[in-house]
Amino acid sequence: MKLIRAMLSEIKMDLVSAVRYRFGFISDMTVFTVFLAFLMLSNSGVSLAEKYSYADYKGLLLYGYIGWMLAIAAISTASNEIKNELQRGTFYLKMNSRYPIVVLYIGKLIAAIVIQLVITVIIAVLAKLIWKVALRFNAMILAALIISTFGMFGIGLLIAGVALLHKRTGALTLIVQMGLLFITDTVPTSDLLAKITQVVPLTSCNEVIRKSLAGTSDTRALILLIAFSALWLAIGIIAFNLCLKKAKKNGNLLMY
Amino acid sequence: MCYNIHNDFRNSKNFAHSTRIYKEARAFFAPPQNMIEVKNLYKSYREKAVLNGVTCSFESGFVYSIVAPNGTGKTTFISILSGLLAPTSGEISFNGDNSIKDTYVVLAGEKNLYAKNTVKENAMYIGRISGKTTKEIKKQTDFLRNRFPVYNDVFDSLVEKLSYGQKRLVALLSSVIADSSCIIMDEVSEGLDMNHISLLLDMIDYLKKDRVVILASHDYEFVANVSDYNWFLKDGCFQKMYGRLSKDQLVSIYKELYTVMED
Repeated sequence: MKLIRAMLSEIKMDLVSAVRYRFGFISDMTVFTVFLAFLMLSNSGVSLAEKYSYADYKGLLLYGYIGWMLAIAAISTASNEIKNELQRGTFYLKMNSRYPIVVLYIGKLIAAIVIQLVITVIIAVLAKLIWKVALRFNAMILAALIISTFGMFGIGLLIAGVALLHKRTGALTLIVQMGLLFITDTVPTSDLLAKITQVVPLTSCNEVIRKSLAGTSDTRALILLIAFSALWLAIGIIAFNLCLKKAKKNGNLLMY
Repeated sequence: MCYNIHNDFRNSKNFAHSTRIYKEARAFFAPPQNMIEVKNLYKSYREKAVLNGVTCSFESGFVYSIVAPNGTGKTTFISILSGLLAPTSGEISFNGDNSIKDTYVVLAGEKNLYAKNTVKENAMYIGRISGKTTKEIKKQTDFLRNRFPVYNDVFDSLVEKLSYGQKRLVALLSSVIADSSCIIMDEVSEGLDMNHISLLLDMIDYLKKDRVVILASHDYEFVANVSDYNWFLKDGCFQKMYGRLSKDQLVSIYKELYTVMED
């Protein structure tokens, strides 16, 4: 029970802080809207209509974009936040906490999801008004988004582990975040690349969501999404803890 | 020569006699509530040994200052105590348990707190992740607000709006909410004016009652004012250990030991 309360406290700290730091929220929303506008205006998702036999390709693109937004928030929560906390001197509070540090960062992840969902709703409404995208949400879509976000959080933890040891990983994080847009079939990619990157939770998530929208849901895609997300989360947690142990041994934590 | 403080400290001619009598009498009538024992602590980076078999013990009720120039292993030692750094070998136990690191570190500068949150929110957060209930946290914060008016004055303020001195004091008092048995302060008096130094001394006096307080500082006037013990680190171990010292004594020993000129 105390563990849940600690996690809730982490969520509350982040949400309250985000509300106070309104400029960050507005800036994120602007960037995501401009980026989506660029994709919509360049008709980036046309081939998705053929692939999923579903006419509203802009809808298919939008839902992939939402998945990507949540994915990059998950990666940032792990990699950038840990680095920020090390620089701010609050990371040791978490290290000396009674609870596993990853659990506290899952609290941060939940707060980031909540904030990103608010941005998502605004962007989705804008997409409906401007590009006449049909909005549909169901349990499958919601579940896929959440599962994928946790899987991507695992990838973020992996980068965070590297950040503990090598510090300057901002460029790496940015490359991963931007790369995901183009290799995970968020913006249509080749079938071969989509197959190769299916191991990335976001690729599987895009498939599950789009099949659900097109009315061709299959459990295989969902099982793959769950399996890959669980795998990445486990890899992320193990790698992060190993890197933390090595950073403690090398003295990397003292150099921030 | 390295002193094994655990065993040899009491026999050292450098050790202040009056402090020893006080400590022994106190230990007899009121055993320490918290105790940290360090045994054969070694730390080396690649081939370079920084700590060379440090053995010592800390008891609640006292303020210990680790005195040494930069680059002699002071940060390494306090980082190992606080769990930020793993030793190459050796053992640290908190009240006989070597599986925990029950320390709270107050880092130098304006760090330690979440700037976009209020002091109250920070207190609640620190309490929560330290395993405290809302009731326990409220009891502690109520006490602190009554005992230290400066804490009460800023309780609902955003940390980013506090002055540098207020941030330092709030960070220190947050350790009470975490309820750690050991508080480590790195350059805690740095940049503080006389009023804040005075408040800081009062707070440390309160904190040390049932906690171990360890300082790392180059502010020798402050060290002389607050420390019950002054331990001088050189060549990877504590070369000299003293009880209370005046600033002049401290500087004199420092010069003798490290052969540097100081103002």
